[in-house]
This record gives sequence, C-alpha cells and structure tokens, in this order.
Amino acid sequence: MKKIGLVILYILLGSFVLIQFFRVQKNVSEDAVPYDFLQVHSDMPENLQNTFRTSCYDCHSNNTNYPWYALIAPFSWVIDQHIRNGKNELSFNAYDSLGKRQKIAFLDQICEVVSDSSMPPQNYLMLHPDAALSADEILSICNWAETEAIKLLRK
Amino acid sequence: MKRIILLSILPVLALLLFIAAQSPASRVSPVADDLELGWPEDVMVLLERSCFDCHTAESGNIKAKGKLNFSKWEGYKLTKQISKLDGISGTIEEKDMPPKKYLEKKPEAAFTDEEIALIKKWADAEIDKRMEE
Repeated sequence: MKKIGLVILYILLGSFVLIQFFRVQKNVSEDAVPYDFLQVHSDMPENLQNTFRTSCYDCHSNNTNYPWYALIAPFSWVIDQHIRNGKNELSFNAYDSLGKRQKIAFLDQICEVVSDSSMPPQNYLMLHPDAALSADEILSICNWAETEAIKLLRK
Repeated sequence: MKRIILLSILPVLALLLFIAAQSPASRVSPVADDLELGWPEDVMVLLERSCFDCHTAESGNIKAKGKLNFSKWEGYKLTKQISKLDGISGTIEEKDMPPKKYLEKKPEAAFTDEEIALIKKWADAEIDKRMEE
C-alpha cells in the first residue's frame, strides 16, 4: 500500500518537472507606446495610475508584470490564457488610436466592469490577490472615467 | 398493440404542446409596447425579436439585464447610452449576440446581414445625435 503511494508521488513529481519544459512566451515588449492610455492621461492622479497598472495592465497591455509563481507550469499556462483573452478584448496601449465614440465607450466600460465585479475576473484574483479593487478604488475609477467621457463628449 | 402505442404517444404530444406554448417565441410580448424609446419601428421589431427576451426588466437573466436593460434606457447617462449603442452595434456585427445557446432555442432571432446593416446604421445615427448635443 505504502509502495503504491510512493509510486503515485513519483509520477506526480515527474510530471510536474516534465511540464516545466512547456514554456510560454512572456508578454513583454520594449516598444514605445504612443497611444497608451496612461501616457495620454499623464495628468491622472498617481495613485489612480498605479491602480490601473496593478489591476488592469497585466492582461490588457503589451507588458505583464509577472509574479515569480507565474513562470511555473501549470500556473504559467493559466496566466498566459488570461493575458491572451485580455489583450484580445481591449488593450490600454492602443487607447489613443480609438475614435471619440469608442473612447467614450471604453471609459464607460471600464467603470461598468469594475463596478459589477466582472473585472478583474474572480479566477484571476485567486492567483493575483493584489489586483483586487477596493470600493474606494472603484469609486475613483468611475468618477475619473465619467469626467473624462463627458470632456470628450463636449469637445 | 396499436392502441397502446397511441396511448403512450398522446401524453408526450400533450407535453410538447405545453412546452411550445410556454416558449418565448409564441408568447406575445407586451414589453415593446411599454418601451417608448422613439426608435424607428423596423429597429424596434428587430430588438424585440432578438434582444428583449433577456435585456428588459421582465427578463430573468440577471447578467444580461445588468449589462444592458432597455427598460432603464432613459435613465442611462448620455455617455452610457453612447457606450451601449456602440456595444450593441459591435456585438451584433461580430455575431457575439444573440448568444449561440439562445439561438438554439430561438433560431429566428438570428440577424441577417441586411438586419445587421440596419442596426448599425441606426446605432451610428443615434450616437451622432448624442455627440452633437
């Protein structure tokens, strides 16, 4: 009985080592980001900028700030999938290439998805608890986004 | 023997009829009549057929209602209305909406290419109206 347990343990350990060879390409880029959301809004309060960086940019931009465990399979696969989906949906790096109405929609959607807790996703937060947004942070995101959207509308 | 088969089929038929009567497709929706959004009739017909089952106050689909609720449209801020119109036109064009699962139950809710073009043109015009205000 003890022997079977040991064999299973070895198999598990072996597979863990083996899957480490299936690496994912890191989402990092040195390219300049002239259309970037935070660059366009460099006058945004610093703490709000940090909120966007910690809670949104890891999946919705071309640069992910990887925690150490993000490089260990199978976490690396899960995180890679999150980033793929996130960039596919929208990229903060491309914000300024959008038209006026799309920018207004972008700003409105930011507030909406953080308010209804669909972003950051629950399963993402399990791996990145520091990306969770407090009620105060959500409020400042929404206040700021709405002011900007109205500014755009009046432009 | 024939009688037994017939007798066993009847309740099934009755059940099917019952289910058919309950399905949203055959229920006359009072929703669209209550919504006075001032939108053209041809657009309203499409929205009622393909969207209102989930995106109005009467819907039991909380997630869908939370994302877009036509019953609350007048209460949306101008920027939200623009965002939603942009979203409506985008998701319909990309065929993300109506969802596949819904279309399995209600295939006639699928938009034709002409209908998609109509919705897009209408949504663009509505957005422009709001941008000029």
